[in-house]
Amino acid sequence: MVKIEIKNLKVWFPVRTSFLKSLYSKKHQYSHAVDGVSFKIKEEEIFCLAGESGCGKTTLAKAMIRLIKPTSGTVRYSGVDLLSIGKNEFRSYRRKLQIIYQDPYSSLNPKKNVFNTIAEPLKVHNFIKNFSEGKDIITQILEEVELTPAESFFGKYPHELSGGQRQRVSIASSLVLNPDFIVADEPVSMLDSSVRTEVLYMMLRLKKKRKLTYLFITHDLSLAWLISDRIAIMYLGKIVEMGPTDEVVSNPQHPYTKALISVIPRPTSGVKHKKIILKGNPPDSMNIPAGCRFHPRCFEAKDICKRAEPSIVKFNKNHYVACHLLSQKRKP
Amino acid sequence: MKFRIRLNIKGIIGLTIILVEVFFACFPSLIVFHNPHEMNYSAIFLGPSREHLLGTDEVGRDIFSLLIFGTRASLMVGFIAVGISTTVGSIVGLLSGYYKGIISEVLMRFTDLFLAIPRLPLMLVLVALVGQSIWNIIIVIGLLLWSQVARIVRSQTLSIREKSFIERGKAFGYSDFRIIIFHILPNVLPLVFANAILLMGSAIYYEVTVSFLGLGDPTHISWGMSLHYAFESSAILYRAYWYIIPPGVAIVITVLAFTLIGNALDESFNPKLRER
Ligand SMILES: Nc1ncnc2c1ncn2[C@@H]1O[C@H](COP(=O)(O)OP(=O)(O)OP(=O)(O)O)[C@@H](O)[C@H]1O
Ligand code: SF4
Ligand SMILES: [Mg+2]
Repeated sequence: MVKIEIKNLKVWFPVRTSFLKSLYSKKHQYSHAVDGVSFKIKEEEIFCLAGESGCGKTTLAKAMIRLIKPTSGTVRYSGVDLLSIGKNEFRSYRRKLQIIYQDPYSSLNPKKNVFNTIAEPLKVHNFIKNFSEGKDIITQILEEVELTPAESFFGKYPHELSGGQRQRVSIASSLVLNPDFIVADEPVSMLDSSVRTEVLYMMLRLKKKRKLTYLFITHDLSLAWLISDRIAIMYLGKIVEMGPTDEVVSNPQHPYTKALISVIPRPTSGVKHKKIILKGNPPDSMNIPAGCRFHPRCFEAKDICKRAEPSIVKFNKNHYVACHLLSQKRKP
Repeated sequence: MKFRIRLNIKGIIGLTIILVEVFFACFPSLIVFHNPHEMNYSAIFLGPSREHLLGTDEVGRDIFSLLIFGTRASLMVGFIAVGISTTVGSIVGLLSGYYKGIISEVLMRFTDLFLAIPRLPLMLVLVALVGQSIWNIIIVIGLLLWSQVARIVRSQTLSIREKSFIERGKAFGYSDFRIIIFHILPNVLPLVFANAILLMGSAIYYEVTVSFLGLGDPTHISWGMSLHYAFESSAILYRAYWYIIPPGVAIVITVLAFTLIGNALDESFNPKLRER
């Protein structure tokens, strides 16, 4: 069963030009943060979105849960077109789609204690009538995120908690409304390495227990490899390769994916891996190169790459790639 | 909600001064034994004595009584005018900082306009237009000081609205109203509070200036009016220093006390200042 499906999703941010410039140039400039992305995530799947900083991962994920308004495209959640329904109707879907943020220091209101932070969404969604009624639910959810004894955390303020504890509170508040689709935007990348694995495994246990579907964002491919069922590699607002994680990691087809995977640290297995270091500048979504958007940095670029943009094609079962090399290989 | 307030020694001194003045303002009759309105033409420009601690003025009123009763007007102007400007300024600042678009733009330009206007001349003109009552003066001062509050609240709001707990509020389906009142306001409140205390000094100072320049409320006793009468009656010529100095000193001490508290609060809420 498909949990969430996006088709040709685009998010373009208008770029503020100077007043003078706007006088002689009528054309609006846009930052093409997400530039036509399609994929499906199945129920109870961990779908990983990976790519360099600034390639549009966060923007895409937020657009999927309507925290950012997409420029065009569709988002279907359990068959419902989320972008076409009105604000009020969408409110009932709100609680099903939640997000866990990267930075545990800015994702909690410093002026609210743990109890009130978790009780507030419950109250707004009429799960409880007043704050004191939430005690049982909140105790239970704090135990689920392994903050025990739960009651000792009720009155704590964010500044009294460690980074890992904050992230657990943050996860608890995201889960308390019983969502089923969770965007996890680099949820452990800002934590100490000792806490990182603990929180990560806790998230995996919660996923099993609560039958969650994760869209897991990371730029750490080894982490993606460890936890995800499928992976999509994003470059400058587009998916360049997508497929079952094991297959993409063991048999990458797109030059960009090859480069990313070549630098994953691996246990020494005797086999020497040649590291591919990409030349050129990291992506800038305001000036997208013509043709294949990766061509200025691609070590396998051909003439056609400067002229035509490759479309994403099936490489083999469930494995998709957007690169001219592939379509050329196919030709007799 | 939880605020931790730590006042440094200067702040405590300032607070003590203001608390004493609040006591004077509430119970002046406990301190003085003359009616400040009582005139006595046979005892004008008397120097300090046991009967009149700070002497008498040009119509024989007891200056010590005038001084103590004058506390009330100054504090009242401070608290009410600042109450008005802080409320108006916070609303404008929150709205123009939270929303993007035309309304926010208009509110911001409006704020900038008010920030740029020279306040004192406008204040004098307005008071002259609406009439010299203490309430009119309070309202005019209140309505001229809000722009400063609005600017501070706006810039704070702009930075807080980018924090992910605000966006997460939207993911929970919170209304804009809830986000502004329960999530942004509590985070700007400490700064608003510190600023309000600092503004008290300005408000009192403006009332003194308006009164001194002859646009004060003649039916109210205030330090500004005392100074005004002292100069009108040429107290300097008579070398009646006991008449001129006390209200001047009272004004300076009060404005200073509010500044001390305000700075101490600012420091306590703003860790960056504390490091210095
Ligand atoms: N609100 C916005 N207005 C204008 N441009 C934006 C906005 N948000 C993001 N962008 C631009 O869109 C592009 C993608 O940003 P995004 O935050 O989605 O990247 P990311 O892949 O999540 O990066 P990171 O790994 O650093 O989190 C960037 O070039 C960014 O500058
Ligand atoms: S299409 Fe050309 S430039 Fe783009 S990734 Fe493939 S080979 Fe490189
Ligand atoms: Mg991001």
